[in-house]
Amino acid sequence: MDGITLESVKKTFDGKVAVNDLTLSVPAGEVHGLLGPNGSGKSTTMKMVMGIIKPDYGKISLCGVDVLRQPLDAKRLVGYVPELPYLYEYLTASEYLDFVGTAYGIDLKSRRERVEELLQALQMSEHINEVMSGFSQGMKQKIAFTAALLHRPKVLILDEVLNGLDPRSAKIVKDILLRLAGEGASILFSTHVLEIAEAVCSRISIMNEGSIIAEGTVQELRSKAGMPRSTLEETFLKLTGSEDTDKIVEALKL
Amino acid sequence: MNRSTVLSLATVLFKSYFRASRLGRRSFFSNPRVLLAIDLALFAVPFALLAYALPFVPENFRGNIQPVAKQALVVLPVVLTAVVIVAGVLFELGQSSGLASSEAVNWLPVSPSEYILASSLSIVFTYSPLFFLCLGVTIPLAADFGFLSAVPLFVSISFVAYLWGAVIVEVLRSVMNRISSSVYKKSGRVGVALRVILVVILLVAVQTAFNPYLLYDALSVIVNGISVVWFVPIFWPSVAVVSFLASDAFRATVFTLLSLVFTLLIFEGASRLRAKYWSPVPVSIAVSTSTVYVPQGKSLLWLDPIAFAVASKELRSLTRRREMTRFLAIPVVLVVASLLPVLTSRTNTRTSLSGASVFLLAEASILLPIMLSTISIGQEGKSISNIYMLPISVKELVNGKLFLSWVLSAIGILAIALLVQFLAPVAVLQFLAVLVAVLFNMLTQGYVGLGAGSRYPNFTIGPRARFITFTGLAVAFFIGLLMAAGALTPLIIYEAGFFGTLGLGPNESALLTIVLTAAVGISLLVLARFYCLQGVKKLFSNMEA
Repeated sequence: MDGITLESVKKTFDGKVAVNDLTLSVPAGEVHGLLGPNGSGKSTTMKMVMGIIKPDYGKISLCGVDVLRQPLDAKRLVGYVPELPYLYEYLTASEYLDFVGTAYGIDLKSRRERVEELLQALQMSEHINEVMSGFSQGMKQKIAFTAALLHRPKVLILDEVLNGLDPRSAKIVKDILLRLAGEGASILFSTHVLEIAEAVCSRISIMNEGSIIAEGTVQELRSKAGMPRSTLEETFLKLTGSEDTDKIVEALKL
Repeated sequence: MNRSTVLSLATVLFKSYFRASRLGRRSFFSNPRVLLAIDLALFAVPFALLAYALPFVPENFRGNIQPVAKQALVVLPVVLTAVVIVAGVLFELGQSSGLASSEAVNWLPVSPSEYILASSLSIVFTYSPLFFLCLGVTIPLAADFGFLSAVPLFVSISFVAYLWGAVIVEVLRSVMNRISSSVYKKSGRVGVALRVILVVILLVAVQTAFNPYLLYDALSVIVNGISVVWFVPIFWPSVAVVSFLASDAFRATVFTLLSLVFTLLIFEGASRLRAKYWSPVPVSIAVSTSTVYVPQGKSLLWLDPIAFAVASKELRSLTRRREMTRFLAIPVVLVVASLLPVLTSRTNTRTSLSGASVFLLAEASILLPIMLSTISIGQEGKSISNIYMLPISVKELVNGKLFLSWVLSAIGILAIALLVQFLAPVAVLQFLAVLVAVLFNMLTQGYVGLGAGSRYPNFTIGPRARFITFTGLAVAFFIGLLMAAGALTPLIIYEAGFFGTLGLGPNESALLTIVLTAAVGISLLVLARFYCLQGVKKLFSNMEA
């Protein structure tokens, strides 16, 4: 059974199409990269998968659970790190993780084990009893990532999860993702750093103006772009029709 | 000092300050020209009315007004300084420290003195309607009662005093940033508790200070004793006016000059403080020195662990967020505000209370829960996304959110009830009848407030954020008053003595009131709960983009 399934999903905001007739499936054990320029509909797609935003029409399910009809059951299956994690900054990391853990119904013993191992891996143990308003963006990101993994979710939705992370933590997060996928989790992962997408994702969808314009492995995308020896960056720019960046920079009076 | 930088920054600060305030969200009011027009109107209208009406005041009555006119001239400078300081401090308390530290001005090439001057000017302009209104009232009074020659000095020195208020706010802002950063960093939970207590004391003090009876007494003391306190700088403008009115030109000149020197001194002090404590940096506060994670998960009364977790989060929001602490002070302020006029009135306390107690309690049972519950959705700000993405049901959220509103409201109501019962005791059953009615009403109002708060939330986190739209607040109070009319009807009938006319004794009447109140109260609770659940359900079915 597929971990994440979207069938003909459409979303408009004030008449402007954000996501158009999108169909996508991420099977168990796959890290699926969602790439695209700013405003291409990646974050909206992820929020719809989370059940946070209602699609105008279409069907979304997580491990067979209909997100629109059984939102609470679907949320129990998924861990989500939004593009900008707005944590409750007046709480300590420990209080926030307790809040999240309670919402997921995780017993105290499992919560303690899970939090300790994740925070130790991400070098955040020393900050556990600090109020998060003083945290840097990277520290907040680590707490958001820890919160998303607390309940050992079968599905992970990660929107720019590596933003602000130091190289060591970013490497750990990437390794965790690969390991979770190896254990059967479905991961939908968006990033603007194409090297990361290439290193982590088994398949990639490129979105532009609300639609998926290409989907496949990195090699398949290169073939579709007619550039079999190119980098993923060159392939991406070709597919999204934005390869003329040199001319744009030259036109600037720098 | 670059004049264009100062003026441009003052305009920006004024606009952001004003737009962040409740009225200013409508761009119309944040236009400086519109405010100037309002200033002129507030000056011209009372001026014209008084100038026209004063000659018609009967001679025997003029003798009573003349000392008041003189008092106004003397006291106004001090009052202006005090009002601007209080308003500025309250504004600062209502502002999130995170927002203050991210102001662009912190990294732009603006010197501390340029910032202080610009910020002070923006405060002066923001509260200018008050200044013009005061002048519009006092100048015709002064002219009519023979103090016309004092008007030029009075107007100039009042402006100086008014400016002091703005500059002193800047001094206090820097000191508050410094103190709060160090206290928080060193004392963790104690610091949090200390701030809550200080804010509550400050708000109660402000409330008390503006009590009409106390204010009148205090102003009389100031006017009569102004010459005694000549060495306190804040009174120098008033001493200058008093001296001028007493035809002591030398003393008037000295204190006017001293006032001007003091202006320069506090400006220099504010600039130096600003230079030292340039911007508030959000500090990392450790609430415990331990680095061990001890998971918590409790339930309480009818709250399951998730609802309890929501309620705990709400309590921490109220106690730890600078802009939220003022809401925690509401119960205390309301108790003081309700009882102070009665306790300080010239009539017998017991007589005043016996008439007002039911009204006071009914008022508290509407205001407290509505004010606390209407804000509980909007105060989440952008962090509301946490609620959207976590598996929290609507009922769990409602129970968790309302728990704190109800507990704080109940504390306020019980405090008023017990104080009233202590000062003007009534029979136990009569007391119980009142208590049952107001507690049922309190529960209903909580649901109504949350229902409106979820339908009309305002997620803007800024200075003096209201967390609910104006329409939402109006809807909450409209529905709340309708519900209150229903919930309190048996009590009103009882208080009117209607049950007595049916031949029932005092105890039977009280018991019947309790039974009727419970029946009506339960029905209204069901209705209000439905209204609340539907609102919250709708909000969490789809997040706005």
